[in-house]
Amino acid sequence: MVSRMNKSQLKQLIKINLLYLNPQQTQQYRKKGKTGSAITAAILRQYLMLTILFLVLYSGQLFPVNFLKFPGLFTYYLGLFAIMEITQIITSVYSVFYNSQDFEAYAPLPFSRNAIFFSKLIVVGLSVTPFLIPQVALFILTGIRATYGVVLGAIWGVLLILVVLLLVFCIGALLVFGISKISYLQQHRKLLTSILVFLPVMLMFFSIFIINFTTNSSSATSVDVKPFALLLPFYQLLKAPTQVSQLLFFVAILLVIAVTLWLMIKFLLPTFYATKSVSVSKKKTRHHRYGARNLRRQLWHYNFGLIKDPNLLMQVFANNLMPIMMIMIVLMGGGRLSLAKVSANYWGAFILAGIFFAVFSINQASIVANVISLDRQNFSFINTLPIEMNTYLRHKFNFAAFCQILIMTVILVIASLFLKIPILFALILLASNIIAGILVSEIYFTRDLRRLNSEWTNVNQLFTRGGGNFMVMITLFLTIIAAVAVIGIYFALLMIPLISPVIINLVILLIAIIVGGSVGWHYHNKFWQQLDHVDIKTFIKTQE
Amino acid sequence: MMIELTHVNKTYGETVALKDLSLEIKSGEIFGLLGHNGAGKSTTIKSLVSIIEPTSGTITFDGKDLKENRLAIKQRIGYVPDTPDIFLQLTAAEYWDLIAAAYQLPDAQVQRRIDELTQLFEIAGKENETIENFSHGMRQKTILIGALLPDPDVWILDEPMQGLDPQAAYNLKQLMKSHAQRGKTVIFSTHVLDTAQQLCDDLAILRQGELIYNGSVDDLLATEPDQSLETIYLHLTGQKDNAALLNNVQTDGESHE
Repeated sequence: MVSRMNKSQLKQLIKINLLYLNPQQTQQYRKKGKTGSAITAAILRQYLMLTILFLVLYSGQLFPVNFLKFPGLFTYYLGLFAIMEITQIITSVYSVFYNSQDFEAYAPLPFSRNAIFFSKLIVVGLSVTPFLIPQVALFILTGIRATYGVVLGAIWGVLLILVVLLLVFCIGALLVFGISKISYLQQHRKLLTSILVFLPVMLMFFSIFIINFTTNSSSATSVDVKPFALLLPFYQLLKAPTQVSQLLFFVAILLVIAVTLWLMIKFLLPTFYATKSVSVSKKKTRHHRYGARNLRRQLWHYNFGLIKDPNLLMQVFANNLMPIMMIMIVLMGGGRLSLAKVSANYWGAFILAGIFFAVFSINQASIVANVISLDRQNFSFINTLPIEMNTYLRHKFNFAAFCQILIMTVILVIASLFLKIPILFALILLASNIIAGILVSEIYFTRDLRRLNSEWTNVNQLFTRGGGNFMVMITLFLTIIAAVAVIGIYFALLMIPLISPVIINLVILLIAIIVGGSVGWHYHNKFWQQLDHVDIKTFIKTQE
Repeated sequence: MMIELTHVNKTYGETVALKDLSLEIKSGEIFGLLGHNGAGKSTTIKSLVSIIEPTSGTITFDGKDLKENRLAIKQRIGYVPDTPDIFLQLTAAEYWDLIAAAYQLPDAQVQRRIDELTQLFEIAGKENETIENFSHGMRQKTILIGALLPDPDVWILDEPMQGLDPQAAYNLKQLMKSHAQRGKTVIFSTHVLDTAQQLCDDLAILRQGELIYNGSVDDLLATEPDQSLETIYLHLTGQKDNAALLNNVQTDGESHE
């Protein structure tokens, strides 16, 4: 009876943790009207489909390669998939152990701690399954090509991959639990969350970056790459498991896993409840001198607090910055492209590049496009305070636009250095980007007020206001088309010998000034000026 | 400060939140807003503090139209919302600094008031913790201190006792009384009839957006001399005969024991 009840409890706990696994996805399902078991079934179905997809995709890709002959490629794929798994484990552990914030809620309920932990571990394991599949294919394919027979080779491959999975899990879990145990971070939960959210993204991002910069154009199936020494023993273990040195390595790995698991069960997990209820009162109370200090500084500080939310930063990074950075990396072409000797005739192109980079970089997932809605109920409360709404929103805009432009400037400075753009052209690029950035920010800032949402629970709800992801894609697509068309026309005009390049560049500058000036004038008159004369509710209505 | 609401209506699409509400709230009184959930108490309060705009009607403070003199009127109001979940990212100290900056209070006054209020509400020593780490009661105290900080002419408090410990609730009641005795105005909404009876000079009872009673507590009690305020309130708001339902719930509970 007890075990049956525990089983049903475990099942229920797994269902709950599946909902926590990917909050955005759960939210999407809820939007579609799904609830409870329907959502968990859909999530399970999705992981199953992903697993099958990965199986078909990677088996097909890896099947033609005889990895026995390419130890370097073997370790390369093993390392790549291991990073994917570790990042997934960190993300999942963060979602179900930390972001769920449910330990305290379970405390008064008749669930055993084991059931709670076990359910969470199962869900983490499930989330990593699709990423495990390529490794399964890699190990089985290599195993059956080894000299000890197809069946034994497959079994040995599966056994080894389980060992690798356990090892990867131990590394991921140790990283998360270990970081969470740092006493400084226990007192700064936001920083802890930020680290746990950004660690996998950064790991993945820099791995892709490094792979992009280190792999050459040589065919992966005909030329081997330099093996990763750290992972080479796995290759040797798969190829010749009966050798004493390989067996010793295998035993050593098992020992490492056993000790790590024991350490986690013995020391880390029992204190996990304590970690969740860390008291912030440990903080020393410093004396605070109160006063009506500069409102600008107070609001700057407040707005900074708003965007410090790790989940928001993560979403902004994934939806807004990541695509831009990926494109920049591709454009940099592994450091081989150089604009050091670009002709002086092309300065107009840098104006256009700066403008299009601003248009491309700022979208509805940018900070400036959501900074008013981030206020939530605070926005209503601010309405009750004797602060001019114009002043309040101006401070907000200045802050958000500054952040946006700072990010773009950093990316452009790095890109300019990599592409070796001459200093004068780099300055033109930055100047046009900053001016265009301010204007585009105004467009998205006013849009945020028009579509104000103070009741959001997930930041994705803000990003998908209006036309949703479809509109983002359409806008992006049209921007790229427009950029290609305009820059194409620009270069085509430069080819015409009858027209002086100076005139073409001056016309570009003139058009940019006219268009930019018109946009600026429009928002000055229709937005900022109007704010002074009506109350905010009426104003929002008039803007709709 | 005399406050007048004249024929105020508020609708959300088809839903009528306030229907032709007219009220007069005098200086030096504690004015209570009573009503079931959804009766229109919060809508009335939010209209007074400029969070929402009435669909029609006028609101004046000392004869000055709220619409025309919004900023000047806000300068004289201290408001506590129904949920204290605001500015969660700030520490209590940062929040009070923000309020001080909004009301342009002199540093000496801010320092003195905060010292007094944090002592009174037993929050001293917690000023540098973020509001999101506070319990509901602590958040309520933080927001309350913010509203009391400028010592405004009008306190508008939406269910202010919620989540407060008995000592803090007692302190707040005393502050409300002394505020009114100094000729200032206190408007608050509550579900706790004892609190209303204890504090209010005048009260308004709302039902589905309509004013069904406006007058003093004594006058209300005089309408049914042998009855408690609770009974009179329930009669006024249309008491339902829940005896059968209550009995079912209890019987059902016993059968599960």
